Amino acid sequence: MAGINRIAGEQEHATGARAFGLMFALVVLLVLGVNAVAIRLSPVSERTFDGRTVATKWALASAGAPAGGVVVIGDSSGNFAVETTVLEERLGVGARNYCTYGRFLNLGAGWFLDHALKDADAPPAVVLVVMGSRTFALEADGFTFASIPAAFGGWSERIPYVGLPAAEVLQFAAARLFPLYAQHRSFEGGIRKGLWHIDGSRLPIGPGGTSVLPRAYPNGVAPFAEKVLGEIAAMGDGPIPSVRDRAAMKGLVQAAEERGFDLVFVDGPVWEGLADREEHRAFLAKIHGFMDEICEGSERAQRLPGGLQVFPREVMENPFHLTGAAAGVYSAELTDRLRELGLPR
Amino acid sequence: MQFNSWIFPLFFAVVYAVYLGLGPRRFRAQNGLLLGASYLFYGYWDARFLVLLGLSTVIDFLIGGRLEATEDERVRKRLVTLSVVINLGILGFFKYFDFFIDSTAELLAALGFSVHLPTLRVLLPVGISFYTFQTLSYTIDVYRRRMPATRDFLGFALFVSFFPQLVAGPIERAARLLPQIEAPREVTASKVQAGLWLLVWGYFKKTVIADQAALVSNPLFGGQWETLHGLEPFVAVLGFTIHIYCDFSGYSDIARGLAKLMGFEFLLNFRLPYLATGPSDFWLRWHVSLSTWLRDYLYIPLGGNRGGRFATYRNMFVVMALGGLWHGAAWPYILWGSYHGVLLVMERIWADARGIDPRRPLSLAGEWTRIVLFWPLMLIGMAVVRCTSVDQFWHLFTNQSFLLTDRAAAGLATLAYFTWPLVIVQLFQHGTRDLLVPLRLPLIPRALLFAALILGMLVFGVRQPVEFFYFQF
Repeated sequence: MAGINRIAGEQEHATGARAFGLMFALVVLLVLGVNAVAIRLSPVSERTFDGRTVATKWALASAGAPAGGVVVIGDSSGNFAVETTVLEERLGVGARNYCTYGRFLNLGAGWFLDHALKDADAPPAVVLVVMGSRTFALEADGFTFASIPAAFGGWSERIPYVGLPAAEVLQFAAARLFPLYAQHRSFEGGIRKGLWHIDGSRLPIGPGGTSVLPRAYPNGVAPFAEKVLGEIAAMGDGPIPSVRDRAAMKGLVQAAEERGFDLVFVDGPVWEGLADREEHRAFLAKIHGFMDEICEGSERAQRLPGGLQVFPREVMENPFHLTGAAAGVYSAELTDRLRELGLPR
Repeated sequence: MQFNSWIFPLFFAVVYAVYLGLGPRRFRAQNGLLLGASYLFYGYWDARFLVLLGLSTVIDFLIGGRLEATEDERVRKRLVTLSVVINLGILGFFKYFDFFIDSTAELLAALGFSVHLPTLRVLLPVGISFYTFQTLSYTIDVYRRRMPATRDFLGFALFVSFFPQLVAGPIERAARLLPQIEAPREVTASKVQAGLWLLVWGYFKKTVIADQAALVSNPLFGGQWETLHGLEPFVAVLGFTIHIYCDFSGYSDIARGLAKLMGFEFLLNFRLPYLATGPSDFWLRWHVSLSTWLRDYLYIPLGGNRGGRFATYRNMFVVMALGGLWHGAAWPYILWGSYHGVLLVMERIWADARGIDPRRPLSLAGEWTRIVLFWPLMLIGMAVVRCTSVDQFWHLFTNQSFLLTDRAAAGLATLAYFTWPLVIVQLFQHGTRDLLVPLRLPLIPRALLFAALILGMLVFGVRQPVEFFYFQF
């Protein structure tokens, strides 16, 4: 056959309801069967660098916060910038860095603190909440929250006491029930490239929890900053910080007063080119305004004074991530400012 | 609401459950349900779009009724002209106004005149090109007395807005779809199975093959294009060629699958276009609902092949150039359509000179030789439509060589990794001339194939919903 007839069409394939039902059931069983194996094989935190960070920090928090010491929670800017060795050396107390990444927002960051306080003999003296401005422009998702190795539904008992909306609860459940979907990066990497394990040496995490970025990426800093400005612009006329962040930050202040530690909101390091932008300044002013508002009248909570710590792009991997010695510089300045505040008490 | 969004499966599950619950005896109630669902589906993008959709529906319904009611040919001609002017006027304003203003300003600037023409930055309603052509087919067919006007306004409104094909086709003909709407639909096991296959295969093509190919080609066409060399331009264009086909045919498959689940039959829109043996064969396989629309409502009214060779060539070229313009208000689309017009004309000239039919029967070797020979021509067309400037196209064209760079090798490896299921399935489809050939498999291999595709989507599907490419048309 050739000519026009060689173009394929659709032919009817008759099937009965029973035969079709059988095939359908078989398909469902096969998919669920493979998924069941995946559930058994998958750790809660994905086999990615982000997943490894979460699992490592959660395990660190499981050991309990250092009594009378300094605990750092927050996003990736804090994860790479706050060196616990510098804090310990200059402040003379124990320090732990539980920072992960931005999509946890203030809410998820608080859960690490809550977890670390659970079995601690005494509270830490100071809790630093280190966030880059971008985190305040991000949206949460249940998949991120589900990467914490904690029980489903446990968020209702955690500090800050902020519930999850239905969509995120569904995502949380989907992440636990369908790891093939939720942890697709792990499975894709494993199946395509045989990468079933993370090479920890590529992104080492110190015993105190500080992660070390191996190299700067100066050329990527400015384009990333533009993306961040776009995300900030996308927030439009909505409340800044978001309703979710506001509730979580208030919850942290309340926890500080109830449990007796000093809470300090700290700006993460930022690229000087982004700090100079008017849109960014205005955005940050709103965030600072809210922080000042909730700390006013509190004996225990405050915002770290002294302005932003800015850095050139040559020492940055993106507008918020420091590399190498710059993290030590940031941490040293941070300790100086804490001492000026008389912290730890 | 996009087919690959989180909300759509929930939306469809609810609509389908109620649809089946109503049953075929209450098919008018089913129509009401589908109409409401279609308006919700479309309004989810932007509720303002519903005004235009409703306007098109009311106008063409009324004009169709008047066409039916009068025998006066002058009045009938005026009525159909009114329908064409209104529909194309709406389409022209929303889709082409800014393009023509900008192009005029650029032309005047090139001639040394500095002008500031008013632009409105008109918001382009999703899918307007598709439903405009669909409603036009109704009034023109009623005018040509190929079908009677419908008196069922609800059914007509559903014909215009039916959600599976509203925003990206297939462009249905009133004479085909309206009778299905105005009669009970039977939902059989065979139809449900075929519908599920189309859904699974369509989603797989979109989320795995198309979106992964886009991850290869988009960066190459984006900020990196000035650095492309060796085989990289080829990889960029090949990636786009895979992306656009799997994206659009994936959408069509999903649309047709949804329709089958509800007992409807939509037009076949893709018939293995990358196995075409030449330009005319390609257009019998690619976006068939548009190419046949252009043939029936533009090429033939222009005179088709009835006015001698030159007129035929002219008509072919004009139709293809306008087909390019239909795709988008930008010069790359017009150039792409014109390029295919030139290919069609050259093929026709060659065939006329040799006195042969370009779609004549071929031997297996002859067929595959022509498939392979047509590929480079097709890829050039894809480069034309994807490049955003003449500079970019020229850079890609002149920096192409057979040097396998690391970037090219990585891109090719990714494309090969995700495209092999497509190649295998399509070779079977081509060999059996049956697009539903996977349903011929025995029960267990068939179930394994379905399960493998679903598992493949779970693991390899691109997560962030990537908008279907053809939505912009």
